[in-house]
Amino acid sequence: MSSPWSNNSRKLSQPVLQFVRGKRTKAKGALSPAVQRVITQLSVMSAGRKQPKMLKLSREDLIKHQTIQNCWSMYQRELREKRNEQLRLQYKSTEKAMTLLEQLDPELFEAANASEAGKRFPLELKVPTEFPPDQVWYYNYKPKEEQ
Amino acid sequence: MLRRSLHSSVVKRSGSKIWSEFTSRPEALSIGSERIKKCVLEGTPSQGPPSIKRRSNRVKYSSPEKIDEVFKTCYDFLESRSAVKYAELEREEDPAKRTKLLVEAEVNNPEVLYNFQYGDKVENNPRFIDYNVPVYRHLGRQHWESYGQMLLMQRLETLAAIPDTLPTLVPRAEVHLRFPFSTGLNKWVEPGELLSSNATTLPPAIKIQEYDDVDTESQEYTVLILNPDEPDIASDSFKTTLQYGLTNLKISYNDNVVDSRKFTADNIIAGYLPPVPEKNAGVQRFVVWVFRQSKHLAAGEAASARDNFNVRDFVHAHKLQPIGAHLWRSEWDSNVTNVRAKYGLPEGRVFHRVRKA
Amino acid sequence: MRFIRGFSTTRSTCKSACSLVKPVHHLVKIDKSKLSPRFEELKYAKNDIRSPGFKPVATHQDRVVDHYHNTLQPDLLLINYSHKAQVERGAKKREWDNSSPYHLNRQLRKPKGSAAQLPDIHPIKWHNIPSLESVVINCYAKESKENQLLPITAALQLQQITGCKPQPVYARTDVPSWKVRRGTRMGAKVELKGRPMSQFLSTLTEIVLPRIREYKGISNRSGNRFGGLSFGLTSEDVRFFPEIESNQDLWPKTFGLHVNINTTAQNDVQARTLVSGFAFPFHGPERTK
Repeated sequence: MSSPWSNNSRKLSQPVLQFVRGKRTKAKGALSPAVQRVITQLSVMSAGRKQPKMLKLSREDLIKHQTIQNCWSMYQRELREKRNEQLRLQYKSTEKAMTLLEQLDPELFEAANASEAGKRFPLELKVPTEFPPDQVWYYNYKPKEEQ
Repeated sequence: MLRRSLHSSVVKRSGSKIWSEFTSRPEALSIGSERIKKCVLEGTPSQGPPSIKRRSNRVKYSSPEKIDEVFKTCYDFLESRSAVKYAELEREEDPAKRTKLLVEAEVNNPEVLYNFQYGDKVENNPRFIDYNVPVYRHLGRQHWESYGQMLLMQRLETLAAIPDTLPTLVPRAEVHLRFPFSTGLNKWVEPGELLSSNATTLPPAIKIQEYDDVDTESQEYTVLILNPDEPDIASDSFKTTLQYGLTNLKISYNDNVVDSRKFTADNIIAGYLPPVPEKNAGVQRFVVWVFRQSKHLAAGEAASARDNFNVRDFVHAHKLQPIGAHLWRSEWDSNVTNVRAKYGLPEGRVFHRVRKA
Repeated sequence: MRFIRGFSTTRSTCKSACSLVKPVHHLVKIDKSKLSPRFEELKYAKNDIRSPGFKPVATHQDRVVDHYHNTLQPDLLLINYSHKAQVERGAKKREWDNSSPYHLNRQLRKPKGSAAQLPDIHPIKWHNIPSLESVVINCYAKESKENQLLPITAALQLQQITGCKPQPVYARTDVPSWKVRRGTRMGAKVELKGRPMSQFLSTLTEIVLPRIREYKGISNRSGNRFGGLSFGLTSEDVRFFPEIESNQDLWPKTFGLHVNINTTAQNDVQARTLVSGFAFPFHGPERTK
């Protein structure tokens, strides 16, 4: 029973040399938890398998896509030009008004032309959201008194 | 906010279906195939896009979601802007500005994009790519500048064709070159290619594609093929030979291949002399120059000696404007003897390395 | 001397003792990458859908940019208006007075009152209204010198907060007193532009900054003189970012950040006015000239 060639004692004396495909050769918990976490973090960051498949468009769809892109860029360009034109007109009319004021009332002109360096937008000015808050306007709002 | 403003502006100006009427606009501005046109303009049919030939591939293919609806909005938007351009065009007199407006009015038309993107740009079918239409000339020039022009200029520079024949080139027209099919070279030659003497036996067909606004009725062209690498033992240097010279050629935007059917004996300054490089004379360059003429050249006026040809003097004397070029290279091979025999040329020299005294 | 190609001899002029840059005889600009026959699809522009690098950009409305165009831009034009303003020349390098022969060919004298040249300040008109350019977030983890796993965590933190891929940051010099060696990976940084920038700014001003205890705001002394503002967030502040807060147990350690806001403003005073329009509070005394 306990011969030296028995299956049991062989297992104890030396590791199994037989190769089994897909069998784990290293113990699972060899890495420390900290290292294991960093490996997970690296895999979160690497872009390897997260690249979406390239879109294969048919000829017609490519043309449609390009037309949509052209339309979008033209629309954006028109918006930009309109905005710039508006700003240019604003500047020109400010300039005109100031020139006029300078002739009419130099004192008021001084006040109007005073430097506004260090001016801040009020903190209450929010970037608008798609859905306004429940209470849209605080009618009785009073700004905090400066101590 | 965005969707709303896009829509309202479209509704205001649309109503003019400018891109779908072909009474005043040339037919080349529409897609040829009725099924493809319908697929682009009215949405993909249920059995898939018709440009995919195999049925199994068509079934597998799925278009991006909502692309047809978005396309329709965008098409209306672009069409309304095009209508504005056409309205401006009616008031415009200046031909340069008119061409610019015509280009701007059509350059975003999806049918034009389709025709140009998938049509053959060199051997163009005037039904789809009609270079008489300014927008196709504009697209053609863009396409040429994105590859062909850069390739040509790089080859002219690296093979030193530009200082060796003419000082420089401001490219204006695209030049393509091909030899008759019977020589076995059935393709448009890439600039700078090394061709066998058999392939170049017969005179080449030269395609001059103009992209500028020129008066095709009156404008005439001169074509010269030069070999600046002919050995000149007397001066221990090289001389330029005129291999082929044509003048007073008339081309149009679409029908612009200059081959032997296009001209008579009056147009020929010098008949075609095929490249027959002598043995051990090295690789020789054959530079094709295309010029716009400022005036008609009279019959005997342009005649010039083939040997020791001075191209700079020739260009200066006849007030030619170089607009395009092309080149290929040849060297001695075993077929040169046959070509010489065919054209009745003398036996070529064989150069050897000689030790200096 | 006229250069003639010899047929059977090589002229001595053909051999140059130094390397020559060959002249170019034409004016066409050649893009070699377009001429290569390899990798056809890489020749498309990055915004072409056929390019492998294509990334859709305008996928949603950009609230911050809309706010800037609708509200801030006209106001900034008015705030910065100064009647008949002239270009203020910055300090420029000066000529030598040539009182000494050694002045000949000497480099120009450094500007008066400044080590480097300063840019001109142009009056604000409709085409140069200050706007946001980019936000650079820089995370330098001091402890990385002992533990090289930390910069990875720092990079992941930046990516979680911004949604953009961070770049590693390396120590530039040896600092023996801090035990820092040159070339050690010390953290990460990320440059945000466009929509990611707007997203980050609105998260910061609407969620993170209001919850910081005793937060006073960006210091009025911050700034690089040329329209760039910087401030810091501590490792505790970073925990208020919703991406970090929602899984606290995954983040036993967080890292502080430096946020640099780059604007097209020509000086810091204009930049602060601009940035205050995005609901950033400011504190402390300000030098407005």
